[in-house]
Amino acid sequence: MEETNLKIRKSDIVLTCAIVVFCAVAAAAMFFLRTGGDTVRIYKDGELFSEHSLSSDAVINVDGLMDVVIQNGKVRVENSVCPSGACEHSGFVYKKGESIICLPNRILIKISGEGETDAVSG
Amino acid sequence: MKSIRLSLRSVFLFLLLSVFSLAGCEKTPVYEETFFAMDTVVTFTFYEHKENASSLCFSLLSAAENELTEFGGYFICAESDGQTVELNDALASVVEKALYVSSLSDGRYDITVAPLVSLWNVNEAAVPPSEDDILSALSLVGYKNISLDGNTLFLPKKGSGVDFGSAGKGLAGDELAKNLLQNGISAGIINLGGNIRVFGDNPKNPEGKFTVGIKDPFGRSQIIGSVKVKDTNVVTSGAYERYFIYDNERYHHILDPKTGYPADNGIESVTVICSDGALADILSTALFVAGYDLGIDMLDTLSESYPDIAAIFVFSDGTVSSFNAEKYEADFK
Repeated sequence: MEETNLKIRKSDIVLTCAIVVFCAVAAAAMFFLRTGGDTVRIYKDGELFSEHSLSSDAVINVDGLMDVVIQNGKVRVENSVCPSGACEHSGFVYKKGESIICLPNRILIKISGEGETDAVSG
Repeated sequence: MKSIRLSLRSVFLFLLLSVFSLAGCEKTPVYEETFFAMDTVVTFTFYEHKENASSLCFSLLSAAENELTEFGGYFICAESDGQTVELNDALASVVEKALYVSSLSDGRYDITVAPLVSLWNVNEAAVPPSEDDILSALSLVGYKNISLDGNTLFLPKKGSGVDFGSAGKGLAGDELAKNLLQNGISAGIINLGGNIRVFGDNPKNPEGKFTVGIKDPFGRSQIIGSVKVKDTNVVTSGAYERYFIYDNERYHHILDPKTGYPADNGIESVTVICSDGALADILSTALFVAGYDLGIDMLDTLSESYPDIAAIFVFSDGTVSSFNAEKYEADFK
């Protein structure tokens, strides 16, 4: 075995540095470019009423018809004026693609992003 | 040292390839249009940009709704004895399929249940109707008394009628899918208040299939399982959809024409997969009322003409049974 082959060459250091930099850049890109699942969209009569981050707690009054409560990364409906209260019974939603529908008030609350399914039957 | 150098190089190459493959699986764009129509929320999902997609969806949806409600609502009631009604082709095809399923279920599903549905009015009621009122509504129910000759519907008695509530959305799903394809939209999902119609190839799936979740009827989580489907309908009827509570008892909207009361046979929801939307819709209600044993007999018969048909029953004790669902890679948690 030749002695010279055991020495660490300059190119090895460059290659190691390149790998480290590459990993750092790739990790940063994946962290900053990740999408979906953290925006709550409220639709009234089929039109976008407002948009909110799932990560900041808020209470949104929708035209005096209901309060949409965002708390600890989850969404629920309170104080709905609809007779059945089905939207309040829906409880919390928090996963990508989940929604709460209030037919009497014609309000749809949806968490954006792609869920584990393309659609839900039921 | 050579081997270390070699392995460093292969790690670098691997990382480079990984990054390129990640870049390759960039997110498929998704376009959504949402409307309130047919007494529910209707959402269209596409994967390609199309100018005026919103107005196209709206006009197709309005056309489908107008066809179904030509007679003022989702049911037709006779104003006099022996009335005949000239139906449009869409409604006539629904009545024909509904009459077939009515006879197949020996009347446990009955297209003429309209007077009973009107009486219960589960959407707005808070109290069940009286026994006398139920009996008088039931006297007007009976699919054997009506007939369809071409597009002409014969209704025997004043107050008798047919109810399209259990078939309309399924029919609309098929018509909308056909019309969207004709208008250059190659793939998508039409969600009519939980009645799912998928068409074309899902660009996010190598086999072009769509994963459709089945709603958990107990509300413990969003879904109880899922199926993988292409160019078909996934329709669910559940006791949880519409109901009222009276005296600590739940009264849901799926009525049993034999008893006049909400169907009560230990079933919480039934999902049907079928390329014929009206049939899928009718059948999800019919199987819910008919129950599991009769339901399986009906499915056996129907699968001779519709080999793609499948069904999933969720029972009140939380157990699940299915018919042909393995065809659609049914996966339950």
